[in-house]
Amino acid sequence: MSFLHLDELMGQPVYELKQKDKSGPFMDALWEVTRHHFENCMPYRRFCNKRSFDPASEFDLSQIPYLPTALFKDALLLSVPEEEVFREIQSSATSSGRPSKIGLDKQTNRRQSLCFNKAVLDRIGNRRFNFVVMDLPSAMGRNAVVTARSSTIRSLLFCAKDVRTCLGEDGGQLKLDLENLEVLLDKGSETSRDTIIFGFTFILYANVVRPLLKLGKTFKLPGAKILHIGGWKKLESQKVTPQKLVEDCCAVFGVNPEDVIDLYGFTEQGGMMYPTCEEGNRHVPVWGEVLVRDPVTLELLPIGKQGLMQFITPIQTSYPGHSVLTEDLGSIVGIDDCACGRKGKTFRINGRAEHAEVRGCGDIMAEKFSG
Amino acid sequence: MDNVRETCLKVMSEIMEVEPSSIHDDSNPDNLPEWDSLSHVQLVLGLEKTFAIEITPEEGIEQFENFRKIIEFIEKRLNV
Repeated sequence: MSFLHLDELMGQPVYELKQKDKSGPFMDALWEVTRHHFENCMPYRRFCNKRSFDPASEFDLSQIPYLPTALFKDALLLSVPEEEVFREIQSSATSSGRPSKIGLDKQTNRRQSLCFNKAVLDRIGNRRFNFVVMDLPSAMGRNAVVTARSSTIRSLLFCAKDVRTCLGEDGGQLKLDLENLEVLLDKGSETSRDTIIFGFTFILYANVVRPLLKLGKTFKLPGAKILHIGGWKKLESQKVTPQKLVEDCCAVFGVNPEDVIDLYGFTEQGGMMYPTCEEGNRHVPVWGEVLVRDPVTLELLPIGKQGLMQFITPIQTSYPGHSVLTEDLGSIVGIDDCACGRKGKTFRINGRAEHAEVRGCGDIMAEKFSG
Repeated sequence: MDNVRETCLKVMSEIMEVEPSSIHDDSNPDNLPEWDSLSHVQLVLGLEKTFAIEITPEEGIEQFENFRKIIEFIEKRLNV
């Protein structure tokens, strides 16, 4: 299958186009891909028909139907024949207990990898790093069915020159291997700028940062970067805010606040990664868009207003994940005006909706795409 | 130029644990199952070491689409 407009969009620089210059190529790709999903995914077509949405006619961004993330938990939605799916990704299911399931063909997998890599390189720099991964060695799994956790870790290794893990297991609990960590990190400032410490947010804080704080053990790693992703729910319940995490990482590792980078993404749109920039904002890449909707009415909200985040991207063609309404609350903070210099929309994520029942989801779930 | 090709073949077959005869100019992650994200990183690092060159992550993404492009990239970098 070829997607000419999508390929053209993918060739653009990640954050250099102003919003007005990006809109045309983005919508061309989105129209192309939406029609593909409509023609090849029967449940998605029924979903659109129920909403009187016909992608044969041109539509604008606000008109494209969105799938709530909950829908990906019930069925493996595909826009390609099942035999073309070579990998199935499952989310961690921390909120609902049921994982989302995503089927990737090789085209989508390659595109997602490319987008992920470009967003990460833009933030950390185009060079190789010594990765210190705060997880078990087994988390870098190599199976046909991978978890989002192992997939994420492996995804980052494209910019690694060395990878070491620093956690072990003790009675079923994760435990920091402090001796190993000291060997890896106590090499002096001449190597620290080549160091990236990576971990899932909760694991990093609970199993590394907090124990080190309690021990009074600190490191001096000027220029090193801390990358973390996911797992805020547990930390929020323990009153650990993003600001506190940054402060404590800086205290423990001796890094600058702008070098503590929070990666935001979700399984339903793998490859779409939104790192915090030097100003603490998140940027939508050229192959993505974001809208904010009122949690009750689902009407679009203007810049500055908090609501449910809807993410739109044409990069996945094996399943209809191009327009997803998440359960995350956030707001668009600006367009083309972030002090970091990146162009396009800028947004922040503020947390999860407490009662994440998207209006309309109930009837969608009940009918289960029935004709 | 044959030396570059042969050397790349040797490095790739060792890293991916396949016979050199199973690697062709159009071999890529889609048609060579052993070529996954982990072995790709190992391949880039292995070629860096073997040829004493630096390959940036961006080059590793964009210039390493298939075996033929890898050879072309190395040859260009070595000016052969």
